[in-house]
Amino acid sequence: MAAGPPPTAAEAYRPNRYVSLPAELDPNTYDASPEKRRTEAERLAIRARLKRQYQLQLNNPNPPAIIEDPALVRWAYARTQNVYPTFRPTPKTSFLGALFAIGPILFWAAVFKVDRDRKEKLIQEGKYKRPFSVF
Amino acid sequence: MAAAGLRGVLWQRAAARLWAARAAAAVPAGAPPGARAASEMSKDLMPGPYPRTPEERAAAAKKYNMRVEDYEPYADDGFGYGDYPKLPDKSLHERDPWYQWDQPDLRHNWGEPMHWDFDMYIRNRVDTSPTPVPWHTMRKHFLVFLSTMLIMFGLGEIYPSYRPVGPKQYPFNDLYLERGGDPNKEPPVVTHYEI
Repeated sequence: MAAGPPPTAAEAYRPNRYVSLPAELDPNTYDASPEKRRTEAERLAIRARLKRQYQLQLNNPNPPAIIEDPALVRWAYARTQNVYPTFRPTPKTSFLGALFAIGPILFWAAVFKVDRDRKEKLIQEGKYKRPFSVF
Repeated sequence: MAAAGLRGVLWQRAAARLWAARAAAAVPAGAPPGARAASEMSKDLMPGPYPRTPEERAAAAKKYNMRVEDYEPYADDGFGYGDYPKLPDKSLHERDPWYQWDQPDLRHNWGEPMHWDFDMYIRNRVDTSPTPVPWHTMRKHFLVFLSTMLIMFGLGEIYPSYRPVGPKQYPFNDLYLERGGDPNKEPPVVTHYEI
C-alpha cells in the first residue's frame, strides 16, 4: 500500500509535558454537548460567586486593610506547613530521599578521594608537575 | 544558688504565661500555637490530608471552590501533597490576556485554586503555550544539528589536519651573531634550499 499524503501541520502536532494542545486543534472544544454546557454553567456559577464576594469587599465603603485571598493562603500553607503532616515514608520516598540527600555526599567523597590518591601516587613517584602559581 | 534557681523558675513561668497569652489572642481556639497567626482562616478551610471517603472528597472540593467532578487530588504516594487539587499543567501564558482578571499580572481570580507549581508557571518563567512548530520536530532538528557538530569536532580532535610545515628558517646564517658567534671568525654558510 503506497504511503498517503504527508500529515498536515495540524495532524503532525502532538502535545506533551512541555507544550499543550491549542483549543483550535482539540476536538473536545468543538460542538459542546448539553452535558458540557451544564458543566461550564456550573463552573461559571462558582466563578461568579467568587467574583461577587471579591467585588463586594473591593467596593466596600470601609474596605478592609488587605483583602486576603484564601486560595493564596491555602497554596502557601499546602506547600510549607502541610508537607510534613502528609508525608509518609514509602519505598519510593525513602529511595528518592537517599538518592538526593546521601547520594551526592558519597559521590563527591569518592571523587575527591580517588583524585587525591592519584595525585599522591604521582607525587610519591616523582612524576607530578607542580602547577605554576603567581603567589 | 537558691536565688538563681528561683530566678530561673520565675523566668520560665513568665515565658509560659506570655506563650499562653499570645496563643489565646492570635489564634482561634483549637489550633496549635504559632500556626499562621496573621490569617483568620479556620483549620477546616486549610489544606489537609488525602481525602479517603467520598464525603471528604466533596468537602475538599467545596473547600477549594471546585466542582466535585473537577476535583482530583494528587496520588497518595506520601510525597506531602495532601488533598491539594491536581490542576492541569498549563502556564499562565495560556490564560486569556483579554479577560478582566481580578489580578491581571497573575491572570488569577480571587478564590480560584492555584496550581501547586503556580510560581513556576508565571509569565516570567515556564511557558507551556502551543508552539508554531511541533515540539518533537524542534527537538529532532536541534539534536541533529548538535550531534553533527559534536561528531565533527570530535573527529577533528582525533584526526587533526594541518597544512604541512617545515622547520623554521632564520636569516643571517642562522642568527650567527645573535646567538653569540665570534664576530672575527667567518660564519658557517647555511643554505636552506636545493636547486
